[in-house]
Amino acid sequence: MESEEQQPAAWPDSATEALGGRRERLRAEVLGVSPPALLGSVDYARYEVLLPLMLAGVLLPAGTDYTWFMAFITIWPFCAAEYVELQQVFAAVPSAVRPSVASDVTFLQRADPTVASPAQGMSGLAELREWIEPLIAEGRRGLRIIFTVSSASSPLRLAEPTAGWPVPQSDKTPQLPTEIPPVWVAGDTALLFTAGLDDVAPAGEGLRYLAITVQSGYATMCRVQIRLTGLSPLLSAATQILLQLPGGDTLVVTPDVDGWAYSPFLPLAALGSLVIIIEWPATFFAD
Amino acid sequence: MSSETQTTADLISYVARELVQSYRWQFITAPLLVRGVRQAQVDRAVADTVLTAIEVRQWCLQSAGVMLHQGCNRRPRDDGAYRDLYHYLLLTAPALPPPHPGMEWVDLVQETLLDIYRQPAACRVPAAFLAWALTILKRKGAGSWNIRVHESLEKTQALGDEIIDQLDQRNRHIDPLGDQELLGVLHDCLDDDEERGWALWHFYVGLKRREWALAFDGGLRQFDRLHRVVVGKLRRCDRLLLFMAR
Repeated sequence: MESEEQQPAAWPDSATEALGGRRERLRAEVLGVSPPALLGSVDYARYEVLLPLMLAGVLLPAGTDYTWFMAFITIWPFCAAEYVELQQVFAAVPSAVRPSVASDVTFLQRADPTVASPAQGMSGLAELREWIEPLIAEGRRGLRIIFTVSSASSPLRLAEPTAGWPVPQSDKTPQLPTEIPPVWVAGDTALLFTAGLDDVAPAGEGLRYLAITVQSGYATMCRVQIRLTGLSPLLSAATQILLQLPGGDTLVVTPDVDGWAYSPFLPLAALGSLVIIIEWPATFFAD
Repeated sequence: MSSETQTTADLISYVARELVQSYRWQFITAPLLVRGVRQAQVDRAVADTVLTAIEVRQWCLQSAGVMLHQGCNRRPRDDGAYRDLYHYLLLTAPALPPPHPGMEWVDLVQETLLDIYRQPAACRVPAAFLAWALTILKRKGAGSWNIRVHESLEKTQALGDEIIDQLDQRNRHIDPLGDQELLGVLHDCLDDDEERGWALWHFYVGLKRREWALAFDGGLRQFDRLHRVVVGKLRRCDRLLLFMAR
């Protein structure tokens, strides 16, 4: 990784001044967002290449790259702070994973007064997941996910089997929210379920390939987000998602380059009769 | 084997077990890790060198990186290597600057794994593989603040043209209402006036570390302590994160 002797270019102002306004400083130091003044420069690109090598300790202190790196972070306090912080992270023993706001699914339990404990409430999610994964392993080319509720307080029930489509036999499936909790602000998301390649890991772990979340909008509106990820060609444009809306209309949505597909904003109650049909690309099972 | 070399060998075994347990590794086992470190010591002709605990940990992480790099480059895919890398990144992520409130670390870890799967050979130095993956994850977390939230057509229509115009015209650089709100957010996220004073000095006034040392008796040590405390509190403050997300 050693290269020719070269000094990092000096910048006209100190890094703190070049960061610009107070929001840029907050973004850089609190959120770790690289200052715009740095992005795109040749020196910063070299810094980014050398950073993991410095963290891993594979550069010799007497080497050119090492010397250049240390000189560069002297000019740019943002990079110095990032290097020191990542050094500490890299050297630290891991702590317990903190759940984020977006992964809080407690409202799923609150929606059902008959659910006694969060553990019982989550069992529906786990059971649906356990049911889906063997079907995928069998080589099913499509997946139909049918949300139905017979009343506001009853558990979610999935429809009767349809020829050619796998459907769960159990009615112990996740219940959809019947109201948006007061703490749920517009834009918040909550996970409905995931399906993954790792059938032993708890929900949320493993190499997920499908995640369906509900995102709150304004008033009592919400929309379903379907995200396809994973180590397979799921992001192929050939993947089609059909949304059968409560009014009877069918909408075809194609995931964007990041794998996201969205339903229109719907009244929360309408989720109870939403049908999602996902057609995998033909190459999915060849991976 | 001298007693000092034996001590280093014991230390390597201890750190290897600690890493495997902490990161829930299965593809990488403690004996494999120990063997990898010993081989690296032989390769670099430092087999008899006494190492500190920090150095041993660094050697173990380098050795783990080499093994995971091999596993992730293997075709067909080796799920075990990716699963170990997944656990490493997921357990390390909470120590990084927070992502956008609309993003979860678990999703960013997935994206990182996907990037690595697509171009595993992009890491040219296998011993730095874990650090390389960690910096990708860190960049993804920071990059999440630059992604605009997708808005549906229905939602846009519901908001109405008038409100949309107001939003478009809002210039945050000359936004007194936004500035006042940010001051309120800083007040609520921080616990005492020393922390708030430091935040105003640093973020609002933009004065530098050495200028603090000239102006205050506490000097650089006080500046660094407050920097660590204030940034840590702001990263855990949902109000600030939601404000910055807008």
